[in-house]
Amino acid sequence: MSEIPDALAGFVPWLEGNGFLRTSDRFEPEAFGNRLITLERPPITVEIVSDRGVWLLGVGGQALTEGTFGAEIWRACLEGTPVPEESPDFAQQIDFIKESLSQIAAALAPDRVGDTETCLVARQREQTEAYMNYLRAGGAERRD
Amino acid sequence: MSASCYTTSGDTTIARGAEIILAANGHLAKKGTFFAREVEYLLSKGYMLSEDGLRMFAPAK
Repeated sequence: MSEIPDALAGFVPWLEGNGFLRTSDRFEPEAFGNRLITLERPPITVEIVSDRGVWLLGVGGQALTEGTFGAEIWRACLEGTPVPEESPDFAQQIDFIKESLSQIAAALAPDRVGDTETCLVARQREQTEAYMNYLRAGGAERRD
Repeated sequence: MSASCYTTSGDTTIARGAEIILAANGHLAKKGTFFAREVEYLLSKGYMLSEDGLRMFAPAK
């Protein structure tokens, strides 16, 4: 299993010290060594994922239907800014999440969660399409 | 198949023109993940994503 990056490893105890409960910690050696750590403090869910050795940090909520979203997607929706081309590193993502927990919780309130998810999905789709175009242009190693 | 398309069995699936069920929404595949690469690989082979992002349809032969 690939080791959890230091920044992410340090974020887990910070979350636990700030009221988040670790509700799952699954390691699947038979499935590429994937790992999923879930921490929850309603209405917020934080997921730390190792997907075939690629570590991801996502923030979602119990009321969202489309899972979790990266810090840069949340920032775009909370601040009304474009999604940056370059993804922030883990330290930057963690800083943003720490600073924005109350805003994220407010955005997940029942009267706002619908608009919030609409925005998150739209910004995520933009980022995904841009990444697909980047791959299509040979911007990353491909195996075909 | 959860979109492991780089394998021989994945390419066999593509060659058969089979519909592919995704484990997550392909429209929302996260940057840098193998899942995103796999979805893009299928798109490069002419597959189309369904509106809900959970299925990929083979190109018409």
